[in-house]
Amino acid sequence: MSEHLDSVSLSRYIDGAGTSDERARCEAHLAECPDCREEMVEVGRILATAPRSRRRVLVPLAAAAAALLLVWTGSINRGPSGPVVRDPDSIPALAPRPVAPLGDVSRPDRLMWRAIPDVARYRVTLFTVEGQAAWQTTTTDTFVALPDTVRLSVATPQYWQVKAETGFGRWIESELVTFTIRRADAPE
Amino acid sequence: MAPAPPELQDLLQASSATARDEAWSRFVARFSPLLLHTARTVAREQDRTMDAYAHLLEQLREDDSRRLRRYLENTGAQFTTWLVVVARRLCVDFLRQRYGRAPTAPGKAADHATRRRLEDLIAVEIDEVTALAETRAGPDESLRRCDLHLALQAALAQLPPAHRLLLGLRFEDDLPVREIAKLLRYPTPFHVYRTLNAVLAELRQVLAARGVADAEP
Repeated sequence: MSEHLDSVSLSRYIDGAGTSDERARCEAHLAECPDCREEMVEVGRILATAPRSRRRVLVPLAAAAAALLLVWTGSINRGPSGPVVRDPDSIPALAPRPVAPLGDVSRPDRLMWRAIPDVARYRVTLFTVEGQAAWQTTTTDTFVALPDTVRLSVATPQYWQVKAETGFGRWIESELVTFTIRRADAPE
Repeated sequence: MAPAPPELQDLLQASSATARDEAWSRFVARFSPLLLHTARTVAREQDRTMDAYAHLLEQLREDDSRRLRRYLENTGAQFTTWLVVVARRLCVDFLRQRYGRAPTAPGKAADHATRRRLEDLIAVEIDEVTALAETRAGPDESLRRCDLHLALQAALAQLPPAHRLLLGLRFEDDLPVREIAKLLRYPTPFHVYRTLNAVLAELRQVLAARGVADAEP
């Protein structure tokens, strides 16, 4: 294995800078070196959760406020129209965890996940392989039955995700997981 | 190259001791939240965090900010990215030198035990299929598994580096797909899943071509 990536090469790779040859060299090393992979992941997490400086936050905020003043024509008393996920990466331990179905499975009749404390409700979404939402429902349980109207293709990856509402307008999302119905389990 | 932030430029261009002191204060005021966050992430405990943070500031200012000057040489990355990489390395080295290597994080051993290995993923599928064809396992089962392992290693070696990195992050490091998408700059997690499915299909094809005829799931 070649020497570990130096700080310049690693930071360039993380930023998406450099030529395709440079990136390929980094990827070849990262694929073989768990230490450098761990460093890349840790740096990515630090950057993703780092406190933003006031300088960087205030300018977009001011711009957003100005834009809002220009287009605002109605009431501000409307509730949130959909889940607002705030900083989901900073609290991964508290996210709901999908339990089943995962991986290659028989035709499932329900979706199940692990509960987290103090949840008002869960919102479950099933996606097609193209990333389109195929079905969505809300529940206070930790499972939902899949209605017959939901058509699940055989031998094609299906994706699903759970979001937990832990406060007004505050949603924590699970990882997007996948399952595939085995061909042998297709109906006659 | 990404422009250096003004606080860094002022610091590196300061011509007098007083100007350097003032510029250093501005630099610290701007970047101390990021440096402290980096130290906290590495050290995890308050006392060690503050030790590591003090060490960081000392090292970054040492020898007329020698380390910071390197950013101007040939970096091409965002300053904050480069700073986090450098600061994290300084923290890791400092803490190892002072306290020794950190013990394995709680739950890490369990995580390791449940880590999904690519080889297992492929091998299990092949085992399931071949088990249907074989009425009873032969005495050379372990030899067959060894051949499978070697064939898979050879097939992995043929993949492009980007795909091997993707497999490493997913199946060796057990990283969530969403995080992989951010790290490797995929537009969405779905793109990661699609690529993974394509790479796994390619691996099965290579194995099938090497004589593992039932490798198709």
